[in-house]
Amino acid sequence: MPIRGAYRELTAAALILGIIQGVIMTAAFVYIGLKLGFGLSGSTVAAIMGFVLLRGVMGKGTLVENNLNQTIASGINTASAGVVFTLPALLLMSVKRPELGDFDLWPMLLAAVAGSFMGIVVIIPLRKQFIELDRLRFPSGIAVASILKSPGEGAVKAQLLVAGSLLAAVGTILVNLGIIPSAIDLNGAFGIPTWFPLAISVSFANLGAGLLSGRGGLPFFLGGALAWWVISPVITHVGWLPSPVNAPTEAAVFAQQKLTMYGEMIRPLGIGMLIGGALAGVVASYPALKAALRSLSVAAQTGTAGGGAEELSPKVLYMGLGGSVVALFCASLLSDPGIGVGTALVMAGAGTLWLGLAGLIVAQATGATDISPLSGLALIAVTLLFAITGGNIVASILIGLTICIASNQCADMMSDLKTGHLVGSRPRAQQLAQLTVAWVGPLVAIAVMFLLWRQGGDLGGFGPQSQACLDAAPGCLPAPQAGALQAMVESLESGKAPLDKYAAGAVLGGALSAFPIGGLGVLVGLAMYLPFDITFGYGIGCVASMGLQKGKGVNWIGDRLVPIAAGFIIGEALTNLTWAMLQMTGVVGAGGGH
Amino acid sequence: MQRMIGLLLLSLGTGIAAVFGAWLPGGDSADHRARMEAQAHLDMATRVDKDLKKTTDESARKQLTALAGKVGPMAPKGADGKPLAAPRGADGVSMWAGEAGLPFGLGVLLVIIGVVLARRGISAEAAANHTDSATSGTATGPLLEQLVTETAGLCAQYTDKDELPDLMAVRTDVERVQQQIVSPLVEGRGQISQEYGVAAYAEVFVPFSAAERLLNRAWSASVDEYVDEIAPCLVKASASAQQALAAYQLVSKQAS
Repeated sequence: MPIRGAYRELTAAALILGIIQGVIMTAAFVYIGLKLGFGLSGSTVAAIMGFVLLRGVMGKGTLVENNLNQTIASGINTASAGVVFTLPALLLMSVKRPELGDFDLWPMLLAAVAGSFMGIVVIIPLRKQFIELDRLRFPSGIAVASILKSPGEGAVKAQLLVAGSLLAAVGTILVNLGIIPSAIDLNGAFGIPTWFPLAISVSFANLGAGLLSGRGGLPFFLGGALAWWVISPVITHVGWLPSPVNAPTEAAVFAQQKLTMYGEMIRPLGIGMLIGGALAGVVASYPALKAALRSLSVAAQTGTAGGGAEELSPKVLYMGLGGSVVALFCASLLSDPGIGVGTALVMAGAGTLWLGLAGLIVAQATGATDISPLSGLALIAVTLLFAITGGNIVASILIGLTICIASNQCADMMSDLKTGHLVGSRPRAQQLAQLTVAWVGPLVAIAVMFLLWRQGGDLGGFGPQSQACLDAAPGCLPAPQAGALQAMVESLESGKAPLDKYAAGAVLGGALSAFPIGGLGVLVGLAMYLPFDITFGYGIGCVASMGLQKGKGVNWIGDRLVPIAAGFIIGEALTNLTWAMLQMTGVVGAGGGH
Repeated sequence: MQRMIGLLLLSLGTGIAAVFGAWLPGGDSADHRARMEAQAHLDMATRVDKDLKKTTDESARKQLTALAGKVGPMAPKGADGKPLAAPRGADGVSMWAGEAGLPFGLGVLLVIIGVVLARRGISAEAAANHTDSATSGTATGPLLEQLVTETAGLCAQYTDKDELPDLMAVRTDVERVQQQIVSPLVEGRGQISQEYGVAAYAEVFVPFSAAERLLNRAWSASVDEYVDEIAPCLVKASASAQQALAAYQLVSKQAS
């Protein structure tokens, strides 16, 4: 039955449902992040819930309205990962150094909210560059669009989407139960030396992201091959790796060497490449960026079919950025009595500049591979601020928190805008919706985190030293990401930052970005930053997609492969989310293959 | 040929620069070995401690307890009694630059030469391919012209205010334009930037992308059965397609 009147888009129903879902997911994902050490995206869940409630129960939800609901929910939820990766480190350190636990909460809240707004206003002007010009794939964005569009896509595509989801769900359950390994180790099976790693992560989401990226994701795979099939064999054979003399077995020697190679050589080099690649990428694409930004001003004044302007006005973005910088300055100034006005100004300035770059890196990496180097960028921010503030840990973590939340907002906003492009949402409506609720997520995430911390008494409610973890109780929340940041801060205090690797990586990443493939330096750097089994699994997806496109054609890819690959991402995301909930409630043990 | 040589130099240079970039200052020195030995002991002590907490078997617990007493205290320490550390920070940079800087720089130089040669080769190939594709109808210009014609046709067909559009027909027609015109244009987008530069590419692809999104919106509105949304979307899509074609004609005219 045809419906007359205005097309439902940014409605009260979408806003309320999005906020409710966002708040629930933020609280749950803070807990999951502290327990398992990884963040989850809420877009898939929100899209399905929106489908059920807006379209099913209310009977009047539209595709673009559901896109708005999912944008709001995931926009709120992005704060959970940003908070879990950073702020708990300060609390963990305060157990041994109580003076660190005396920090004021308000500056942290202010910085977190500022970061949430800043991430959105910084990345909005790059929508045209990343989505319309660079045509980045944003595999999760495509997967969510597949859910939203399913009512009109026809039976075959819907069946393929469901089949892909079910296959991924079964595979993920088998991995989590430990029935099949989390990585297929070809080295052991074929007797290949470990310095030439051939392990493939058993992840349907990884494979799905590779299938959706196709040829565009190939540089990422080649970066992994460079790290582990070139650097690893060479440095092993020329004897640059220290041999642990007293390692009890040959396997222990290899394990130690691999740790050194990855942790001290390849990973820091990759972080440097991410930075240099992003900087050079801005320079290389400057003419296109300029044209895109010019069109942004025009689009902000142009009316559309849906009524109103296409994009948020640059004035709104400038005001948002200015307000966020002022808030960050105030938060910096109030964070510690040792921080003066001058230092606070430098902190806010450096934090904003770094965020611009970090946002570019995260959006580009997520766009090409669906993987975000969030924690690495927060670590760099902490390193930078540690130097600026002369070793002030509270102030450094405050900026780390801001950057982590802001970078995650960049990736999420861009992924949601990609979904919006595919279903035809007005970018302005999405941008406005995410800006309206940007303050909610940080407040919920920090409140939940402090509640969990306070319930643990003097030892704290999470971390390896908490009573629950010492007792190996089911409620143990080890907070592994915060542990990594804590180790990083402690290494900074002892002056062990691998600056040589960062510098070398930045030069190489910059040089590679001059090649006419968008973000080559960033993608190669990202591959070096991640374990190779992830890169390898993704690369197999890319190569398979290229082969299928050659054999079956572009339309076959769109009609058949995209729904299956999107199903892989959806199936694994939903299964892991359910699994994490079951672990939280003690229904399944903490073991398994994950 | 030029592109192949460029790619070869790029790959070789990247390999050399990455290997020497990864060189660990002091990594092959006796000092570093001692530091690694210390770390290995501490890691082993942590693992033993964890195993001890998990194990219930009494004999295994005895073995692990004995091991725990040995591995931790054996970790070598420096003269100051703290764990040994490899040179890092500013010292690490100067040591790395002194030992590995030259081969690393050579690698980066090869990368830059490779990039320049590859860019030239790609541009030359794009110019050579331009004539072939222009005649075969797969080039950007003819496809943009088709997009303008098709979107104008959809406007004429579905903007009659007196008659409600057939929603299934709208969906089928929009899907046809998406598959037959929009997808090939997206696939072949590299041609414009290679021939006319990235700024020209942006001039064409920004309005083209607006047309694409508005077609997507018309499709969504047809699925949602919001009939009043379809016509304005198609009108706007048609205008954006015309804008993209005009931009393309301008940049190709300026180039020739």
